[in-house]
Amino acid sequence: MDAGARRAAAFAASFAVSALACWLFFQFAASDGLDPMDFVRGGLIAITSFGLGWGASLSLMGLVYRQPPVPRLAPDRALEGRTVILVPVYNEDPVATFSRVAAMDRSLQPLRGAARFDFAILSDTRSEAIARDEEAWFALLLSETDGEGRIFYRRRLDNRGRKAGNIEDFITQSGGAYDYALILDADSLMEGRTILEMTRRMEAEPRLGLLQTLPRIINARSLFGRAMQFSAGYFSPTFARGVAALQGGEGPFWGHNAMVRVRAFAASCGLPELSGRPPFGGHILSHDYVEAALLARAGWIVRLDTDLVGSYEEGPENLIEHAKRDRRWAQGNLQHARLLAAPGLKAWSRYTFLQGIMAYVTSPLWLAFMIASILAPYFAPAPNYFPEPDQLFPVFPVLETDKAIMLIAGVFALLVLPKLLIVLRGAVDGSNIAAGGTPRALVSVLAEILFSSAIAPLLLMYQTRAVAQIVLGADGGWPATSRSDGRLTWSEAVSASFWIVGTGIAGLVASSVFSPALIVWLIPVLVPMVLAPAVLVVSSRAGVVSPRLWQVELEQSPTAVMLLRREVLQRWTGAGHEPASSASTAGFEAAARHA
Amino acid sequence: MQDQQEDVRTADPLRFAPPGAPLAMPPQTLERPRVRLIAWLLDLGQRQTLIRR
Repeated sequence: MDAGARRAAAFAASFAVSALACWLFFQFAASDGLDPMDFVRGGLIAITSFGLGWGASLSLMGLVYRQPPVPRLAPDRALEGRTVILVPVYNEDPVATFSRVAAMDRSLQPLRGAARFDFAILSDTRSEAIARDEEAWFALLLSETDGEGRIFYRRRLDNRGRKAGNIEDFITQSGGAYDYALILDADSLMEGRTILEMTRRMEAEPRLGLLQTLPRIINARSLFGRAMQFSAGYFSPTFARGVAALQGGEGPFWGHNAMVRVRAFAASCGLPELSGRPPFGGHILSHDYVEAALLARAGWIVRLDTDLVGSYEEGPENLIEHAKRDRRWAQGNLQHARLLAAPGLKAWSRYTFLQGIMAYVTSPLWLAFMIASILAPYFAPAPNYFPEPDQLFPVFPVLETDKAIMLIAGVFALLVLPKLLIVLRGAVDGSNIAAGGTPRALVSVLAEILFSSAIAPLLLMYQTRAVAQIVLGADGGWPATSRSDGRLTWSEAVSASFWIVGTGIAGLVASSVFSPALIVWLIPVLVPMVLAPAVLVVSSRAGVVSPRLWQVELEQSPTAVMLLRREVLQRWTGAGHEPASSASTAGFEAAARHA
Repeated sequence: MQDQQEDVRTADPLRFAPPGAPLAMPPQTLERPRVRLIAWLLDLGQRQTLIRR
């Protein structure tokens, strides 16, 4: 079965789910007579259940799909091309970032072919204080690694085009010196062996324009961070295999922990400024999807190799930081609406843009569905117990409540079943050992389902607000949360969520007035909203649950590069080694707050 | 050439200067002309509205 057939199967399954959901809904809604509000709700069900069906198809595909062997170089064949490892930074903590560079360099140096790799730290930092720190820590990095001539640092004074502009600036100045560029984020970490293997795979397949890895989240401490880390470690490989099965050679690119062929990237991925003003015009924000589409348009293969391990990133430690990042992604994805009709793109690239847009538009649609459901009884026609003129006994409408329950159960199954199937497969293939064995993996998965259900209404509200702000051209507005451990205070949590609490209370009042029968079904959504500040605070704390819950292998047995990084960080932030102009990480935090 | 490149690199490592090797990165076409025209007209309309206010 090729990618085209797999896509057709996923589409057919998603349409079937959508059609079944609509049928169940209209059976239920028609029992007391159809009204215009029922058609609105039916439309919303059709769109949202298609999305659920698509997600479930992706994970089922990932459970059964095995990536075919990719072209490899013969083991004795030496590398010919030169690779640069790009580390774009923007007001980040230089100690945290540069210690990762030191660790990756030490991981790479013992390997054959290490001389063909350079590092380039590309600073877009706006704060002069942090920039001074960057220079000081860079000097230490060079002396520690003996990296002169192979580890570079430059700072742009003008950060046009943000990260994409930063990379483009490097390519146009110095790209001709390299065959491949590994694009990282400031919080990326990769094993030297993985970097080397990626380069060898690029060299083995001359049509390969971009090779994406699946980064695992590491170093999470808070409840929220560890839940994300478990989710990324336990579920994401399956979902990523599903993505790889459907994308074939046309994606994805997630913006970091990926290698590009420099000449292909330069020739195909120069991003124009879109006509009109932001949020829909101006610089392209979510550049990665666009670059993947442009490479595919130019005939290059864009591939995700799910078997490549040793690729890591760090994630947000609390829900507010996650929502802030999500706000940026939402704006970038909605901007892709301008590119749906871009000339020459592959149909799949257009669909990827649409999926990215729908990932955010779905939240306001779910909210609209809930509001419509609360208000529906208000619009429903009055029941007619005596439809015939001379009827003696009343005819009561047959309530199709079982259809509504089936619909809700179906939605729940689409969300939960793929995760339980992943546990089952882990029990069969032995991969649950990494999560502490099958019983503990099952407990972790059930706890993750509970936790993600508790935070889902908050994410729905943040995404809905983000979409509304973007469409209206308004700015975000978040409280400052600058502590490196991610702990939120009650005042930060209240100021970030008072409007969600208000909406939750309004929802409870409205449903008890308009549709008391619905309140049982709305409680799982409305109660977390009313308790939003508590959810935010508790989920940002470390040590709330046992470390054995959401256990991932990388916590128990960190890999070589993770240990190297830990050792460098300890040495740099411990006594003795401190560059003259820096006042350690604490000083950075003060500078960051100042910035 | 290689030696020259090494010289440039090690001369001042703080100033990013790996072998000066520029590479053109031409902006790609992502909008059809009529889309650009519509966006320009909308933008013009917005500006006019702002001026009137």
